[in-house]
Amino acid sequence: MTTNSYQRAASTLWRVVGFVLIAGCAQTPQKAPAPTPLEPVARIHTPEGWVQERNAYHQLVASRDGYFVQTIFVAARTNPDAFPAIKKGADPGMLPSQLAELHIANLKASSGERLEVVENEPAEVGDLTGYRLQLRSFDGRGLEFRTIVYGAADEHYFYRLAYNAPVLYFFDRDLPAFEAMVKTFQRGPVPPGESGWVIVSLDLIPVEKKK
Amino acid sequence: MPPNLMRTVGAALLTVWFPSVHADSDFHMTVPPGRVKSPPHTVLLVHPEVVVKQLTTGNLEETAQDWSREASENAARLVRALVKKNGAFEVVDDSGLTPADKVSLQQYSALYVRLMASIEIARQSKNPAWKKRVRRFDYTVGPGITEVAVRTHADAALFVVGTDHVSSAGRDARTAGGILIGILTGVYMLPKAGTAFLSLGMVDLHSGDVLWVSSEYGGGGMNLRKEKSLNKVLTELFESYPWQPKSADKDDNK
Repeated sequence: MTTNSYQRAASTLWRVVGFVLIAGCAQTPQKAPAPTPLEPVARIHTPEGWVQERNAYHQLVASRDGYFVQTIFVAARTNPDAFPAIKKGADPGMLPSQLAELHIANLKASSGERLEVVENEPAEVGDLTGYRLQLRSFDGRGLEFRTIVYGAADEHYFYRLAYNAPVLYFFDRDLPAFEAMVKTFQRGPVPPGESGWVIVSLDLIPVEKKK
Repeated sequence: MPPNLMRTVGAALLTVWFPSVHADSDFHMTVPPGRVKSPPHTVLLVHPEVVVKQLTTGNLEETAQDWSREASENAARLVRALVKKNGAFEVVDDSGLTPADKVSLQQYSALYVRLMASIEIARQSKNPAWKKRVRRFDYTVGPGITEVAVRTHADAALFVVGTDHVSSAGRDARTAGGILIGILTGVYMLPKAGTAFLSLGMVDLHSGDVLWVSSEYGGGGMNLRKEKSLNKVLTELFESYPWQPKSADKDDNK
């Protein structure tokens, strides 16, 4: 499936969902923006056999069995818009640990729930040094979930890649596919003549969040 | 996912998902022929989890513990009676399991709810990739369930999960999608409305593979607090059981 066909196949379902899922940007559903061209800022290879879609905010979401079972989320924002829930931006001069703390604060502010940070360590995101978080949470029926979040910033953009699944069977099974995907992350648009890449586009930040 | 995020997602989903699916719907799916060597003979009935909730006018929900306990116990008794009458398989309960094993089974029950919702959502999706995915029907809760249930010597586990919502304003219909998302997220589109959902799911205890899913969801036509309504829904759900005994087939043809 080509990038264009992914765009065509993008379900209206994810217009809003991807915006709030894992990234934790908003408390209430936002009206989806009008379709606009992608602004490629990076590229990636998503796991083979997973269904991938792009929401109207241009964020990439993928799942193997369904979004209630496991979800991968990839997106990028301009640095000033990096952490909208706490109204703070990213800066390439920040240490990975500082960026990580802002990301954790943003997640907690947007989710309004107790998120336990299980791991917080430096990590490579493409050619950038960023961080890798592991978060623990529970759903309404008491099922434990783990979320892995990678984040890194360059001089222009803040990149984030996340994976969420129940601990029971799925998290460990599908984590290698996510980690392999993270290793393929490269900044910049798809080079001419290269195929197989999936574009990581700049988020369309809702107007409300820019105020 | 944290509950608040789930609720946010749910609210979002309700605005975009299942625009054409109506209440009082049902769906059944079975593992493709050939993937099961022999139908299950002994089936572990995992203690049903039918949750009855009260919706407030602010669209918040509160679990009614007594009603939930009663509905779950009714479901267990009615399933036993239906299976005994039907003769499709022999039922064993979870009384021989340790408390830890019972807790584990409830976790698998929660996982089954998510798989069932994913299957239905994929089935309803306009994305051909999801439709292709659901046609494969190779869903699993993982082989770990084998260890949990080994003491029962059962071939399969039967999950019975459901949710009913009661409000003083009546039991108006909702969209099927709204019901499913509401179950998982706690967000319901229409205020002052009741809704119900019940699903049976059979999982192979030798592999963890989902063998059969049968679900029904609706508004005014279902009331899981009422034994008669619950029995009617369970009977309808069992009609799609793929390995009906021959005597049952004959009865159907009469």
